Amino acid sequence: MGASALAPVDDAAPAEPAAASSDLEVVELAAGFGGHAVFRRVGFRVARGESVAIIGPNGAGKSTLLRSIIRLIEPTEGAVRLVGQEVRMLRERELRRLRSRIGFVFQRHNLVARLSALTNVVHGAQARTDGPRTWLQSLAPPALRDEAMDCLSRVGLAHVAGRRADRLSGGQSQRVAIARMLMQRPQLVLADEPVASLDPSAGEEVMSLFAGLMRTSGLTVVFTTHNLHHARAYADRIIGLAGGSLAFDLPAGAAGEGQLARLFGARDG
Amino acid sequence: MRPSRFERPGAVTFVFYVLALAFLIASVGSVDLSVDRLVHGVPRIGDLVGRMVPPDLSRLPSIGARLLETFQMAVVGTVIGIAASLPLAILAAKGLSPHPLVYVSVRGLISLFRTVPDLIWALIFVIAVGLGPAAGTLALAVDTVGFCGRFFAEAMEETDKGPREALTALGASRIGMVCSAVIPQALPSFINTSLFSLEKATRSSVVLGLVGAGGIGIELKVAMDLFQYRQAATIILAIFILVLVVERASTWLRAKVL
Repeated sequence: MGASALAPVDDAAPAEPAAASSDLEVVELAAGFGGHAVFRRVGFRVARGESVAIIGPNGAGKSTLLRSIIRLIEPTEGAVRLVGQEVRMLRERELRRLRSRIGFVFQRHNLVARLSALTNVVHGAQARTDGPRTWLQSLAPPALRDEAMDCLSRVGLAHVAGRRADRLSGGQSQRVAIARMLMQRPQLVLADEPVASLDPSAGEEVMSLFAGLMRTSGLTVVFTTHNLHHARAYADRIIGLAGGSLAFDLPAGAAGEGQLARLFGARDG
Repeated sequence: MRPSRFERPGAVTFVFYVLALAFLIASVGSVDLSVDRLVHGVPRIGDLVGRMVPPDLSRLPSIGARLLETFQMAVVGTVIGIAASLPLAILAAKGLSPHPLVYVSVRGLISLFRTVPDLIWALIFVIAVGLGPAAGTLALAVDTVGFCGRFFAEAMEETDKGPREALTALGASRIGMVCSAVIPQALPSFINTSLFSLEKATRSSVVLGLVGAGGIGIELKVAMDLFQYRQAATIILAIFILVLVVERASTWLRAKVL
């Protein structure tokens, strides 16, 4: 559980090096758009079963970093080793296979609005079941439908399986998105501010459900958040990102209020 | 300072306005459209309408059969055109096309299908497959590809990118992503465009007979050439009813489905 020695770390000592084998290792990673670097020389390691929160002000590069890990955005420099694979070396088919093992929860649920909750969850099996069987729940074989129903039950939404996604509340939509991610049977989960688009009450509920599911399944999780309470309550480690660089990497218990507050103050500095 | 009520055009804009006006005046002269011709022409239309009344219903069964053939051409042509449009539209949609070269080529092909009038496609298919409704049906199919291909592609480009990104992130194939995230979102627009296309094909199918590509158009031409105006009136009324029914049904379906 440690920060890469290559990353600039200030303010506090880095967390202890990983004792267990790591599921994710980010080395000197950089990414940007049109010649402008969003983040640079970022490095950290996430051990199997660990939960890591990445915090930082708007524009710090949190979402871009998470997307770069599975190449939804192509990194410009550095390396990513994800569940034992060198991500930047993978060809398209291999990348697809790798992505199928990595759950990704977006800030907005990103469900297909006109389709039912159940169909959206069935989509989670696309990478392991080729062809039209995962395009619509009505085409899915019974085993796949049962599994999707089970995923919906795990997020407490079996009763809305037939409801169109655009008729669900914000909290329900995000829970369906989590069920879709569970349907992938992921080995590691990346979550980009998973409750930022929800009201505080729904946000607490969904975050608690999400963290509970991850803990129960023993999954490795990396999530970004603005919410310091969530970072402290649900993460084993907190990584601070500011101005496109790593600011600190600490065990959750060691991150002090002042340190976290200074990170958000850095936006204007 | 208070801004002026109208902005003074720049020199280039002013020259453009003058040239456009000059071209319009020259064009009115060229098409030989005079008040004198209109004054003498309108009573002649009245005379023609007088000779069309009452419509001759003696050939109604054969006109009905031709009308059905016309509608069948429109339906089959539209369905073939829609089926061909979908894969072409995917290749012609930004963000879905596999390569910029494929995008430009398919866009060009769709533009060609759209810009060449259906009557010319009918002439080409009459030469290729011979006289009759098959040529007309193919002409309508090509015209439909030109229409639907463009609008299907634009509808897919305008869909929410979020679900696409979600499907890509979970390892879906390109075709899986298109069929699961893009087409369901674009479906209302597809249905709308397809119904407009059927209306358009129904109107077009009426005139394709003029070049021997099947349908009721040839009946109308023969009736007019032989000065059988009462029979022509029946054909025109039949066409009017067909187009009206298709438009009404299309509006009803649109409201029902969307």
